[in-house]
Amino acid sequence: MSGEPKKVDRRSFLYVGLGAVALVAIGAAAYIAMNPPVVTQTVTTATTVPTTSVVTTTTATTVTTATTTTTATTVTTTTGVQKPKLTVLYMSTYAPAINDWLTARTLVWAAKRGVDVEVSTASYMEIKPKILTGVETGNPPDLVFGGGDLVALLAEDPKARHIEPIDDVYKELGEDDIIEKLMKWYTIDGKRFAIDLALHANQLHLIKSFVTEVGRKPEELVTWDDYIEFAREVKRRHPDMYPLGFTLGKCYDGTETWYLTWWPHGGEMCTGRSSTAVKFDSPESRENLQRIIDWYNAGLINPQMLQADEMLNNNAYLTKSAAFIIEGPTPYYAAVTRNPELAGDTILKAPPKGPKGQFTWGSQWPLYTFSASKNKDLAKDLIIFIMKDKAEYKKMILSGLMAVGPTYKSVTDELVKDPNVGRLYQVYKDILPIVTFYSYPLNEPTKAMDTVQANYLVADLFSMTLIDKKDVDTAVRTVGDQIKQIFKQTYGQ
Amino acid sequence: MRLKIREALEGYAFSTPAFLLLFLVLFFPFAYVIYISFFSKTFGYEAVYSGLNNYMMIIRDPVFSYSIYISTLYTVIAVLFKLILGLAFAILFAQEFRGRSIVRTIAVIPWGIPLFVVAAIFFWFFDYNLGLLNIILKSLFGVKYFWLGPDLVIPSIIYVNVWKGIPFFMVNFLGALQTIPRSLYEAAEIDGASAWQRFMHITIPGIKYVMLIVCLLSTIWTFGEFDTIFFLTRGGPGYLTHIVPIYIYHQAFSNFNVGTAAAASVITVPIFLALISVILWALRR
Repeated sequence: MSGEPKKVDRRSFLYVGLGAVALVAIGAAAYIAMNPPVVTQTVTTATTVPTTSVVTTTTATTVTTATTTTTATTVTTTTGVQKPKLTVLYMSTYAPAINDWLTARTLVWAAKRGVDVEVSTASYMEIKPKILTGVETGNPPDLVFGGGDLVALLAEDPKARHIEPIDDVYKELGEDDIIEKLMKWYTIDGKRFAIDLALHANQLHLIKSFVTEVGRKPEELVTWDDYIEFAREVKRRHPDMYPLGFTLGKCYDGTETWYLTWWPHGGEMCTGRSSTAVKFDSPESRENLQRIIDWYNAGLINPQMLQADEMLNNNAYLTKSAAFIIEGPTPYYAAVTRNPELAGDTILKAPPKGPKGQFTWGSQWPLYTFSASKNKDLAKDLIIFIMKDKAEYKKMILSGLMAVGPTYKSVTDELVKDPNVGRLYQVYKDILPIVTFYSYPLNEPTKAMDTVQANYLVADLFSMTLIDKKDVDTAVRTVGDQIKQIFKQTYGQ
Repeated sequence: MRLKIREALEGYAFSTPAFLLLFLVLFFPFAYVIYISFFSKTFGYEAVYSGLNNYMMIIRDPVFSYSIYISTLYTVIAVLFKLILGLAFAILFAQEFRGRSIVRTIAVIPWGIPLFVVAAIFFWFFDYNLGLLNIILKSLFGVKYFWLGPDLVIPSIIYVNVWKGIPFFMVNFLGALQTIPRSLYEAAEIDGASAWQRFMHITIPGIKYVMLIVCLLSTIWTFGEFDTIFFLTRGGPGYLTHIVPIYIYHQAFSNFNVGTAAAASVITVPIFLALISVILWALRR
């Protein structure tokens, strides 16, 4: 018996290969023959779902749209082999109950409409690359929750308008009941491209026991000067502590620290869409940067806060290693669910006033769909389903344990009147007039400002001065030039 | 003649699928990156030809120069530590002692832990207020440090990489050590060679090629590492840990500029190859 392996004739090998390819081809042809293209039949039924005005079912070959404005709606359903499949991408928030509610509502909608739905979630950091690559490859998700700082980037330029306008959704939901400020933030060229699931605005998380310890009352603390004096007093009593829980890293919360201290002291970003409209390089910016450096050098801010991490200020509050933080109230949600004692020792308030007024940061929690989506009308229908039933919607707001406020005026009023939670939700009503977005005072979404924000450029001011030891003037000038450059690249002037 | 042509055609027929696969998987993405690097390209927008603008912008950007510097420093120091410690552990675990297999198994665990889990472990390990490291230091010596702060962040991320990478070196060296005939050591001992001489003249030459391959692979992985550092520091504080992959990520997903991200990737290739060549040259000597 020979130990040599048996040689295979090359030609036979090739023929076997070709035979295999032919078999695969025949198999594929047979499969296609047995699964003809889906035939869409339109079935009109009076449904009991009072929320739908427009439902379009799309298949590879046919698009059927049924529209009605009556309560007994017309629903177009697809019969045949395939059901439409909706892909939704949801940002995971720091308040899991809200995500659970959103997913549950989505699945209920899918069951009612007979639609397959694939829900995936992504963290705040992951969602932007996922959306952008989806848009770039022409295959975006059908519905997105999150990625608020991409809306202007993907909707401002009429030649590259990837996000679908949803004015019809606003009409269906009753636009008069939606907070104007939130609507305006997604309005470009008179069209609205997204809707906020909820209002996620920053509030001051003040730990009462520290205030009492220094012999003050929470209501006495109003201005930035009051709060800094309070922080210095806490520092005197607790030399190892860093009372200001302010993030200084190159991240989202680092930019919030800048804006929340800058706006009340007269800081302004832009007044229009050109590099000449950028107002960043100003005496107010220099003064504000110097102010924060002074707080840092006085030991009021933990050097760890120079790390780029959105959790640092949350943890500073949750571990009581800061006397106060300013953040969308998801840390408060965490305290209520994990450390009720701390929650009981916390007061949520509007951020401090400055000589030029009082401001708070409005984060975006938008829902939107894309022009390239084959199921964009189904996606709009889902948004309506999620938002329109106000009793259900109120459940979501309450499940957030103060993490978010309502997008609706009526729901805000209802919550404020509620004997159990009214006092808490009054804060949302109070801060509404001072909610501000990063293009202040322009207050409109702009592609250039989306780029500035996505780069966390203003947070560079802290690392330039506190790590690289550049002087305040150089830091402000450098960042100002970078912002102007972005505006110039975006708008050509 | 006719037979030769037929044979040649058969040869092409056989190799074409493999070549196509290779082209699609390897060459096409790389060629596309080179192509797109000559365009100004934002996600969702038309690409506009911009010549060498992206390259000029990247070369002039001080953050990019720093990224190259810090990536090289990070790679060289981390690989060096992994090499020395991996070898030391391999020699230690090659000795006969009670419980050797248990210790060997435990020592390999860090290599099996996914990168993001490693990052999560060390994120909390290094935390100023809650981190185990500071809790121990505080209780023993009454001090706490900002491990991921400006002064210590680079040693900290190198430590994490070394911790994760040592087992890979150790296992490979251990395997190589076992191929060296015992008789060589016995003969050298009889000839009066010292332990150091035996190490330098028997052990090192015996595992030289394994060392070369392990160092080469580790250099490639360490230079291209993204997950751990991004999760731990996101390139900060400031730009202190802005290694090349993080720089490229920010160009693409913060600046939304695919063209500059591609240009940065292309520029990195020769630098990367040079680094590998230097390491290979040093190890061959």
